Amino acid sequence: MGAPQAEPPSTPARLQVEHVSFAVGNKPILRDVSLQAATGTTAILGPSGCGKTTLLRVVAGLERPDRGEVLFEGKPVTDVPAHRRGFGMMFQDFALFPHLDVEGNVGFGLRHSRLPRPQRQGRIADLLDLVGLAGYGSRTTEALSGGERQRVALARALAREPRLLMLDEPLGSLDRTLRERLLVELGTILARVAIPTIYVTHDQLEAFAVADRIAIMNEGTIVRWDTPAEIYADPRTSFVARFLGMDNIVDGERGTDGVVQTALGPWPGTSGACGPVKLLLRGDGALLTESEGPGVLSGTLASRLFQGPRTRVRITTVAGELEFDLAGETALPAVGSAIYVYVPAVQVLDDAG
Amino acid sequence: MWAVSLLLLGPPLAFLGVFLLYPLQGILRESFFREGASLTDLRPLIDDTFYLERAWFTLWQAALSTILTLAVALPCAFVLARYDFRGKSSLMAVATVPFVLPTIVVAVAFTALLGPSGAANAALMDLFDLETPPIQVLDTLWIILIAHVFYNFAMAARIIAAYWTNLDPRMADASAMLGAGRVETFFRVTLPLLRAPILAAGSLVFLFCFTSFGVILILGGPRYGTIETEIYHETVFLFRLPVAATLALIQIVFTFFVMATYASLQRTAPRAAIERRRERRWSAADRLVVASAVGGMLLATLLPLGALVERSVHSVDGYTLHFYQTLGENVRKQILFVTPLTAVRNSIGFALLTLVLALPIGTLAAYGSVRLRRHGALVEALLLLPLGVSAITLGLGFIVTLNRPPLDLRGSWMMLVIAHTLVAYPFVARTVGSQLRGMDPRLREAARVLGASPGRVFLEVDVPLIWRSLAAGAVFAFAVSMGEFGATLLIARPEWPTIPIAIFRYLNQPGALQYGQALAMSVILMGVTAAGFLLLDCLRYREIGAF
Repeated sequence: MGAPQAEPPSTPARLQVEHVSFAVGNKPILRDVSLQAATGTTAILGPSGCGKTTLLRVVAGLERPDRGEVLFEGKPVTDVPAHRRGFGMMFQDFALFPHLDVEGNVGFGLRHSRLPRPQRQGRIADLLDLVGLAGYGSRTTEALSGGERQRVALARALAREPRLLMLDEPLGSLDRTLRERLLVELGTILARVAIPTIYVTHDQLEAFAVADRIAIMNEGTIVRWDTPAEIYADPRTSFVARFLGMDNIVDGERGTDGVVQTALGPWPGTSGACGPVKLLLRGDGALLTESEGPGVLSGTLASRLFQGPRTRVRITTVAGELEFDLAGETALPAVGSAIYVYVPAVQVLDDAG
Repeated sequence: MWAVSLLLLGPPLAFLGVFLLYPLQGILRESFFREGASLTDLRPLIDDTFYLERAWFTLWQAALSTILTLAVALPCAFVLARYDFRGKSSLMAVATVPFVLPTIVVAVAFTALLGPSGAANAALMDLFDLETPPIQVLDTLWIILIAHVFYNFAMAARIIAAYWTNLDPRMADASAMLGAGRVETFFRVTLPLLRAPILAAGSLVFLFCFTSFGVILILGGPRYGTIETEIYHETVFLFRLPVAATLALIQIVFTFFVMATYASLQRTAPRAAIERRRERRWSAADRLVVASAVGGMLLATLLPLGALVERSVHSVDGYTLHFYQTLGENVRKQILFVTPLTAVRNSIGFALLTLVLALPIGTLAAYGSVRLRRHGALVEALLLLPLGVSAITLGLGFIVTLNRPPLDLRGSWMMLVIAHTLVAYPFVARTVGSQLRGMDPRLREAARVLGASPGRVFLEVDVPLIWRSLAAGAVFAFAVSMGEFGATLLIARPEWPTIPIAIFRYLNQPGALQYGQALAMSVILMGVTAAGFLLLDCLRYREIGAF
């Protein structure tokens, strides 16, 4: 895929990953990945198996890349073992030590700090306070709920004041309501500690919520690197569009006049070369209309799903089934009858596959 | 719940009651409550510090053996758990062969390797032109310790490795991310997490060394004795039954507590790792570690066994099959002479009969005790008690109780089979039990919900899942019966000796020919036992160590 890799960051990079490749046996996991992260939070977003956790482990020093270099503040750290990099990591499912209590877990890394013992106790108390678990020090990790474990893991990762914080699916194993609540808290804490953070997730909503920049990964490469707003506004490739849940992609042919001819009819002009293109019909902001017209799509209503603030409709068209979100209280025709939908936002995707 | 458990546990408990507790009770009665019995019978125990010394020796040699065994087993377990390499399961099978070998063969193998005319001394004398054998370890503490380590280290390594494999690899990763190096991670994270399996393996090794009989009797010489050899001595040579019984009681009480500790530790099975270990390329250091561990394990296992084979075909005149050829000849015109073929036939016959009894009893015991939540560890310790009861005590109990109605088994081969079953079924119970514990209960529930009757659930869900561990238990039971020495020594009729008894008879006769014949006989027994055990490897049952 000829997709753009890294774009120059607005602030100087702290972490640089340069042309890193990693394979297990003959199976490439990372292919020539480059990434730069500045202050703030960088999310690595991708479907499971895309290599994002491996990339994180390479940065952490838990895996050695076959090729390429990891630099921190300009210095190469590829040969520095994980325990000397001074990075903090929060593992998926937290990996709390079952043989230690909460205090033992949070204070595990403090043995290497030059803090005298009483001050260590104070530091642990401060950290537990920060994550909202004051007074939990002597509890066993078994006795904690999922959300509490997540906070202990965060406090543990923060205890050594890492130069870089890495979070691997930090909310992955929690249920939805808890996730939404903790997402807000996590954002607040990350902002307060002001440590550059890499946040690995497969959930675009999580990435959009916490990240200043998002790197989208697919099959071992970074296919997009941009701010959340930019990515949402213009996915650019069909992989990113589909990953973000935008599935209304139809094949078309751009003529010399710039008009794209599709099975659904002509769609008004966009600039670019002539030839086959893919059109993304944005599902959000679609409106129900009475009849055909420019930018209006026709078909039969296949199903409708009332979701409160919006109603999701599936429409059978000559180009297949497409899905749109209409305003919640739209008066819809009966399932199986004709329906006309005005699609205000149409984007051309610049990939051939 | 309780009713089902009791139903399952009924047969094994009844068996245990009739053939272990009743004979033990018989020893008590015979010792203290027969006519004319008085406490003065126990005078020797009190007057003589000899027994106290023996007890003290039993305790500390077992402790020292355990510590040494664990020290050898830990690095082996590390390599077995953390590396995947070709031939790993075969290596594990080979290394476990000593554990299933009869103690008497192990003892003979060590005399063949390290004895005055053993292979090691012969080689050294040859090499350096020495007049006297340089290695003089027979009849010393060292040979006892070495034999105990040899006997138990693979079993301990397997127990620990089975747990270690399932340790979440991210625990070590997390430790590294918190600034701990490899050594610090080992001591602050890995070792504490392995506490339960290490203690479980340790208590089992301790138990085996505490009740060790053949090794001490044959290798320790007259200077060293344990409570176990003393019970034998008091019974067979001094005829002081009360003293023997008291010693046996002390031993049982002690082993029961160790067994209970073991059972409760073993019940804390590891939760399967959420994330499996990642494959990774090996560094030079990895290769070195694996190569030295594999080499060490193979050497430690094969050297004594190889020496046994080598010495069995070696006489002063060079290599010969003489010892094997003369096995069938009654050189000394003994009345009770049996051909080796008869001994092999006896041993295999008894072992197969033992299987018939031990498999159902062990399986029922496993099902019953796994279901128990409360007091489970205690019931399990009770069911595993035969593992910790000295074979000599068992034989003694049989002699004094099963000789009159209601259970007159005098002269019956049944007595031997029952004794073997007692020592063998705990192995079946352990292998099947550990598999059952790891089984997802929802599988059975799913089958029930899908309309399967309890019988069908057992046949179509349980059996396919446990048959490998059942087979493993069967091989263990077979091996245990083949090698059982202590109890057989006391109760076997001269007309139907087993292979270990035949070996012991040869050993007790002076002369190079007889010693060579003992070696030859040991090789035969080793061959039969190892063949059965290596067969297991074909079944790909990897968790044999998890009993």
